[in-house]
Amino acid sequence: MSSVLVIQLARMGDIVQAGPMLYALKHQGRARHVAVLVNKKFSSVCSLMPWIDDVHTLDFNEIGHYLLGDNADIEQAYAYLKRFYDRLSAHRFDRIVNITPHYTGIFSAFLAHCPGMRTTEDHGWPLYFRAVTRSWNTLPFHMADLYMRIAGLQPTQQYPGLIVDDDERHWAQSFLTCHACTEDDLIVGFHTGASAKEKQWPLDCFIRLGRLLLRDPRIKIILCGTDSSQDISSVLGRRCVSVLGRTTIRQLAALLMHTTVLVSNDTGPVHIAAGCGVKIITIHMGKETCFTTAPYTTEGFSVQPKLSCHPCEHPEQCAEMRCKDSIHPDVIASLVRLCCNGNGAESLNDLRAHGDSVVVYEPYRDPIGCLDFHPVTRMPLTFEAVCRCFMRYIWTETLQPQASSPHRDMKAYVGTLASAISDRYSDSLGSTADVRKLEQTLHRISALSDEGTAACSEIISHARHAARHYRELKRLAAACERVDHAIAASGTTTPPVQPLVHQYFAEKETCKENGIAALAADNMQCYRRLAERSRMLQELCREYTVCEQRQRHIPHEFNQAVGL
Amino acid sequence: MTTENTIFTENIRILDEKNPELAGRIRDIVVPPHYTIVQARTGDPVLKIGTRTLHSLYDPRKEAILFVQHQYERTPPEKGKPLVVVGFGCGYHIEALLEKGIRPAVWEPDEHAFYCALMSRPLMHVLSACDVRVGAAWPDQETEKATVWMYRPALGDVRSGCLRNTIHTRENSPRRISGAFKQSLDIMVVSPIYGGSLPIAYSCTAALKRLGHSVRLWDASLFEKPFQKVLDLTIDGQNKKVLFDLFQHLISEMIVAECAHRRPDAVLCLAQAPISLHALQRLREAGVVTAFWFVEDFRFMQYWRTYAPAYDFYCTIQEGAFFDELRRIGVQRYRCLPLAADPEMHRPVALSDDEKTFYGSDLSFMGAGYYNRRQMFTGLLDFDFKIWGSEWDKSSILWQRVQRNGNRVTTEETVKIFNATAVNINLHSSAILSGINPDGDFVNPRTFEIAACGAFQLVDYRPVIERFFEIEREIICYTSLEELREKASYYLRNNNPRKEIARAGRDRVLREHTYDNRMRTLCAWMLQERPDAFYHKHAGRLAVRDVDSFTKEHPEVKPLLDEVAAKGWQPDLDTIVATIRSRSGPMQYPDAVFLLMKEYQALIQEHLQ
Repeated sequence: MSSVLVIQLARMGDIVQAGPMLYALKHQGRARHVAVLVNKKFSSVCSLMPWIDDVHTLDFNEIGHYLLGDNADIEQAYAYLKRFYDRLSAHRFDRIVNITPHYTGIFSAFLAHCPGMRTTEDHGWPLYFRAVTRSWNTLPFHMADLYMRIAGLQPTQQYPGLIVDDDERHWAQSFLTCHACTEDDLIVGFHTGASAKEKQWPLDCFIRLGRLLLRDPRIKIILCGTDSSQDISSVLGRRCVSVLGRTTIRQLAALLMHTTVLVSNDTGPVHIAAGCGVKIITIHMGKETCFTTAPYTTEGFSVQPKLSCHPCEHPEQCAEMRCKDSIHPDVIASLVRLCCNGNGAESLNDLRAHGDSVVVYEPYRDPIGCLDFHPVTRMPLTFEAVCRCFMRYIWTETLQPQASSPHRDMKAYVGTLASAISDRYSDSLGSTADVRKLEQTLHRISALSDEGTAACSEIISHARHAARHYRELKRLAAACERVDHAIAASGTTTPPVQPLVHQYFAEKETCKENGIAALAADNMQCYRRLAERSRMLQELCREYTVCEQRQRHIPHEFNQAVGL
Repeated sequence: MTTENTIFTENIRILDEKNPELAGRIRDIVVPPHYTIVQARTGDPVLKIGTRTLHSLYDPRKEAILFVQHQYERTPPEKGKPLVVVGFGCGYHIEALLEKGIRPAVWEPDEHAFYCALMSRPLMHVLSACDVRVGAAWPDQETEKATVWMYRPALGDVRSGCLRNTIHTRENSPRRISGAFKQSLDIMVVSPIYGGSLPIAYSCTAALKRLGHSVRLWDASLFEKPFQKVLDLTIDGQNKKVLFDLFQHLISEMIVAECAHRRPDAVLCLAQAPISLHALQRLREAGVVTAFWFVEDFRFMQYWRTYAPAYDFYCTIQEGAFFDELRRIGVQRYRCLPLAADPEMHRPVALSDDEKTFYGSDLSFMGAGYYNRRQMFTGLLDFDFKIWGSEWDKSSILWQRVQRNGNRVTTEETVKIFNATAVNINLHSSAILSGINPDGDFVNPRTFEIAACGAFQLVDYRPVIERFFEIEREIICYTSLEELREKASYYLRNNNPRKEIARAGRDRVLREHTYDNRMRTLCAWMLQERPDAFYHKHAGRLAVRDVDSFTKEHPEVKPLLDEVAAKGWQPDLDTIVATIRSRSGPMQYPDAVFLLMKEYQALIQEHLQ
């Protein structure tokens, strides 16, 4: 049992998404004392997670004062940061877990480090996290699942959610009573704001949605968010109540607990709502997609525009914002009805009618316990959708320390996966030319890795008499370099293998220069891991196409009967 | 006449009434092939530069209205202050402004883009209503008084360098523009008094201007006559040397004095520039970065041994053995910067019948009469072959083919010769060998210039050519006189392949081998290597004010600040971070604090935007 500092210097939603991990650290017996380092602006959300023992806050406004503006002063900035991190490091944490998706986390972890502390940044999941921050689009995990793994924890569904005190519960109850809300009412929350303009569904759409919903006399709407959001309650009439800018984070959480469903842009409060067990309809626009940042819950839906430009690379430069016109209020109204009434058939018909402009995803747990998303209505199978699942399997199998993760039966995993996917998608993976190209590339990468391994092995054998074998060593080093160039080129030409290549080079960067033999041994491990992952991905593709063919001929019931 | 030409003619007619100088300049522009006009879904033309489109491909007019609305909310034009829009694009946003009753002044840094706009759309109303400036930077004193709107889609990475003058405007706080600000430099180009590198100095100056830098040409050729006069005073070698040194000293002092007055960021000297070691030392002490482009063969011109170590940056046209030599004499920053062409100078031109007769021939050669050329060209006398240039032997059999009595040929005439000749012969010079030097390790400017003219050439093969052209598709090489004769005959008989190869060669030069390309490389290199030299004058720098008290209070930062000082840099956040990133080994405590500072700075700036 130890004391652990978790560094999360990103936004409020990211802190809430770390909730399951923080809880598990404490309750899976991994930490006696759990402390967090967060941005002061978002620290209040930590009060909803009583399993956090200590909250350290860094004031970005104060740092900004030292670093920018007319009074900027590098000497004072240095003194301030030094003071802050020295105080933090004085707590002598036994372990630091960095889950900040930018370099501030890495440097903070370094500065809060104490002598003798266990450090895990250089291998496994923490290293993967560091590498994937350079190419977010290759991340196949939901952030909350990734955080669990970085902390060395197994996925768990034993998460109680955010905890709201009695005071806030009473406040919420009396607030609703004051506004004539009864037990029979269906309360729909609207969160119309977002941290960035490109993430906001247009206000006019919220108004049209409100009008559609208010045709049902049982529905009441609560507008939540900050006072910077525009108040549309007067437009929607007396059955719409605004609490914009009038609640603390804790009161907001208490109020959300009473809502039947929350309709929101992809922003901090959806994660609070998820922590409160509320059904959520999240609208993802601009560069946001559900796969990594949707609320961590299996309740609700994620709605995305069906556009070739989504997810957008540079939403801040887009003057079109076609994504804003793509999501029709009718779609969201149907989903709200589905959440409130369970009126599936009619709502699904509505969704099919808008199938050209929008795609609705439903969360589910994949065979290894990770959160993933299926389309609600059948759509063509994409190579990316299957690859995402494969990569989750590969990382789970190869990044975890061997002792802590039982090896899974690949056939069983692929069978379950193929069954789940074939229910939701049309077409087959095997019919795509991508698979054949991928197989060829993987075969080549495996061969290159073997070549690299052999070269490293020779280097190790010559290393003892380096001076005598100088020319030979130089030739072998050049061979390794050639292999690396070829591996990098494979990543560029075949995007699905990019994650493997990125991770390979990230691992290579950590090889320590403790003599020729040690360096070659480290490099050899990197080649071996790359070969192992390439073969695994090859095997997964092969198994999957076999499964798929089998399932097309054999009834689904049979699969269930044999446990697939 | 096509519709586009009608549009262009009408646009130019209006521009001519308002700004004849600009109209004249734009009329003659040759646009590189990566400037294209594409159609938006609405059918409106949109300018595309490389892969970057300057307007929406869905609806550029709607986008323009949104731009104006957005800018109006953020930075409304103030009463009594003019509004300057930086970036013309195809003018949609200017039209949107005019519809609102606002008549802005417009500054378009890129002449090529402006030319394309005039080709693509009728902009007569815009041109008559607005004060449009193109190319050179807007004067500081004017932008200080103005509200500035930047039309960012029309301003690419490199072109953002032109924005330095907007530093004090309301729209752009110094912090926000600092990224672009650092890209724009004040550069003084020093030409030689005469010689082959003189036109290169002019081309470099023009290219740097086009890239948005503030450039002043220190034209030493203005002193050619007095210089010759002084040297002609005596035939005594010793006295000549004394006079030469004194003359060079005078010119050097003039350059130093002007630098003290104008305080440029950098001085770029072309080969043979008359600047002394003492002057270079004084420029270095004054914090002016110096660069030299040695566009000569290092094996024949040896003065680089004395001068190269005195420059901060040394560019060459050769690598390999030359680099070994430079390293040996202690030159720290050197790189190969191959020669290039200036497409505004070297371009296809229409010739009159008289000019075709005078300048034209089946085969021609333009250049000085070096030994190997004199030997080799005697084997071409059975062709319709003209020789242009100086230093040809009057007693040689070749003299009958030498045009204009062996006088020097101007650049304008050279362009006409290249254009008028069916097959231009290009043979790299050698004072020792009788034919082709197969080990030549650089490419002469003529190779790029002939290609830029869209003219056909046969060039002597050397492996380095393959770095610049695809042989047989973009250029044709020969390795012997026999091959030269054979290929010349073939291409004289076959017009189509000749024209196709010439066109492909020109495309390649416009894409990769212009002085714009070379100057962009040079500036990026200087900015990367000496960030301190270019940051130190600019706002937004987070500098260590008192190094002594800082290191006294935090002794752990002393080694790092010493390292910064050893590089000759002023200590500030950028130079400290650059120093940390330039070295290997484990991270130290102060490293992490400064790197963290840099990260926070970027994060907070991002939030502010």
